[in-house]
Amino acid sequence: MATAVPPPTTREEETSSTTDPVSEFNERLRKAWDFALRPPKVEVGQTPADVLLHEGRMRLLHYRCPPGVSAENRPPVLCVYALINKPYIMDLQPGLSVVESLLARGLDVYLIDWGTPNELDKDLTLNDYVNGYVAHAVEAAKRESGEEKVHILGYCMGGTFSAMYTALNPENVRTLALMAAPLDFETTSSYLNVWAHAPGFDAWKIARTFGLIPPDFFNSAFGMLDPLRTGYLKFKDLLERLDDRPFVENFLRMERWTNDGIPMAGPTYAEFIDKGYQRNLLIKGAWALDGDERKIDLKNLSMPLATIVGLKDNLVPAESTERVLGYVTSKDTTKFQFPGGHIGLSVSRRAHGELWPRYADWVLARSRGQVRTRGATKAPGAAAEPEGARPRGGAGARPTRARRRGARKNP
Amino acid sequence: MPRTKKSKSATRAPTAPPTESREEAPRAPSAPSTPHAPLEEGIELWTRFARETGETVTEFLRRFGEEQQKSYESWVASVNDATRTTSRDRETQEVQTRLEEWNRRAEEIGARVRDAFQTAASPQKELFETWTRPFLPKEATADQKAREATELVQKLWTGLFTDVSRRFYDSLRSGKGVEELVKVQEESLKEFTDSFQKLTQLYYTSPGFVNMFGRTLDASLDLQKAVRDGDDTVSRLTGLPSRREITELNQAVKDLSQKVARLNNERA
Repeated sequence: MATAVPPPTTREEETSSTTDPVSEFNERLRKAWDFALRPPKVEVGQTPADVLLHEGRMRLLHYRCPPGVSAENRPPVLCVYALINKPYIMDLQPGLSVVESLLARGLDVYLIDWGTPNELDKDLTLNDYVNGYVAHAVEAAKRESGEEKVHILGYCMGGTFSAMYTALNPENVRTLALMAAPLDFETTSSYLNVWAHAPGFDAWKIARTFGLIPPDFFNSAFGMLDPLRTGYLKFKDLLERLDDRPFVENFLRMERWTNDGIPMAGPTYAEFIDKGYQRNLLIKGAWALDGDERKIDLKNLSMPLATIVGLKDNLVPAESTERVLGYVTSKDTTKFQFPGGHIGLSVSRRAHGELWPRYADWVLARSRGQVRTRGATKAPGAAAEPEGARPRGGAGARPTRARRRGARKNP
Repeated sequence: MPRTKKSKSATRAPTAPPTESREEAPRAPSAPSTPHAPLEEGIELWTRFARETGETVTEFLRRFGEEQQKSYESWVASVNDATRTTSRDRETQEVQTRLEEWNRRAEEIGARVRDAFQTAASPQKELFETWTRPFLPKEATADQKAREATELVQKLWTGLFTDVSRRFYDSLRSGKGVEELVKVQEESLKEFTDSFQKLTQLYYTSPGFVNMFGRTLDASLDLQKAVRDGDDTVSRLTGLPSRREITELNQAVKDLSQKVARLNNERA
């Protein structure tokens, strides 16, 4: 009789006993509690570096040549990051680090770390950043590398700074790469560009009210760009992949970066919004930095020029960066397009497999025969110094207007 | 280095017995052996408080988690029963009846929410219209707008939940397995995500929202300015430094200390 023998296990029962989604979810929930109570610790910005220049809050990091890479004939690349959050997004973790990728391809990498502005920096202007900090970082990189020109890689707002600096000082720049940089603000593909034209949105009033614009002000706007992902989907993904240790650690690093915002000096913010987002003066050739009467002329960008954009970027749409190519005089322009978002450009596995090797080759191809052999080499395999990289040569740095102003305020 | 050694020896604990150091202390018998340091005392107190509270919170979270776990497990047991092949045919009818009843009640609640919302929102008609304008036909009358807007809220409310429950219910029908349930849930989520993104895009870029965004921001700035002015007025009247000035001074001192430390390091 059928009841005398145990019934054979049906396919469906077998499936449910081995991959029962409810039990799986149950298990994940248990792990989620463990995770919430005892999250693993993660490190960021681990590539070894020395501090080449220290000015106010700004530090210029010079990354050490990694083991197995010749220290000679390495073209200097200066990375200029935005004033939003910390620059370690370009060196998030081993394997997902723009800095590490460029070093491995034989480039000599420098990175501007803006530090955390405080009350003493609340009067800093775009002029202080472009003609002060960036200019001094370029000079320091030139001195250190022994080169007459450097390659500049500007990311996001740092890309705008880079374009401005290069247009004002083209003689110092061998190639310019503009990565997700807002340059032509006449677009409606990002909400930010739409909201900047809201009636009553007065950037100077915001600057006067806050003094230093708090990071929460930016975070709330960025959170609105993709509320579903920010508030729900990313946590759902985490819950589903709690077993995946690398994913969890990457998630935590990204969360750390997202919540590691820095304030921005009011005048810097106001000028950027007013002359950029609201009046689009850069493309029109009518932007003169407050305190500097020279108009920034994009026609001065005659050196090899690359744009690096994320096709799914909802913060700085691809067209905002790429349209600049229509206003420059460079005969050697390249478009790097990547099927990802604003941050994915620097932290996605695919970008490190496809994009960054191509960019490094692009730089190398435009440096051949122009990089002088340097005698000095650094000891390979030195210990990582992420946040507290060693100071070197900071005392001889020229003071900027901002630094002098800060010094005057000291009691 | 000599300097370092000297400073280390200067901070080394005294070798004399404690009784001797008490004799060197101020004469007053009630005076403490160390100078009064309210800041340090405060920090110590807070550290202790944080440690104790932290333990309590951890314990509370653990217990809360366990309770939630039990409750959740009993719920999944019932879902497991419902999705098991052997009992599904028998129970599907029952589940269907329950879901239909649930949907009927959800509709009722939705209608009540709509009425309540309409009544509550009527005094703030202007604000309400600003919020909902992007979704409404331009030529609609005020009453039509109000009705459509409230219906929209109700549609969003019941639409989402009914849609999700319908898919869940469909997957429980005979002949469909657990994999199917997972699949429809994923499809449902994707559909929801896409719809949500479209809705967000439509709303955030609409003139109504942009207008409201600007006005709200402006009003909030005025409010913050008023608070700051109040702080400044108090400062002027009392002669005490304002919070902003205190922060600035503290930062300047901190900055200077860092600079000195950096210079010392470089010199060393």
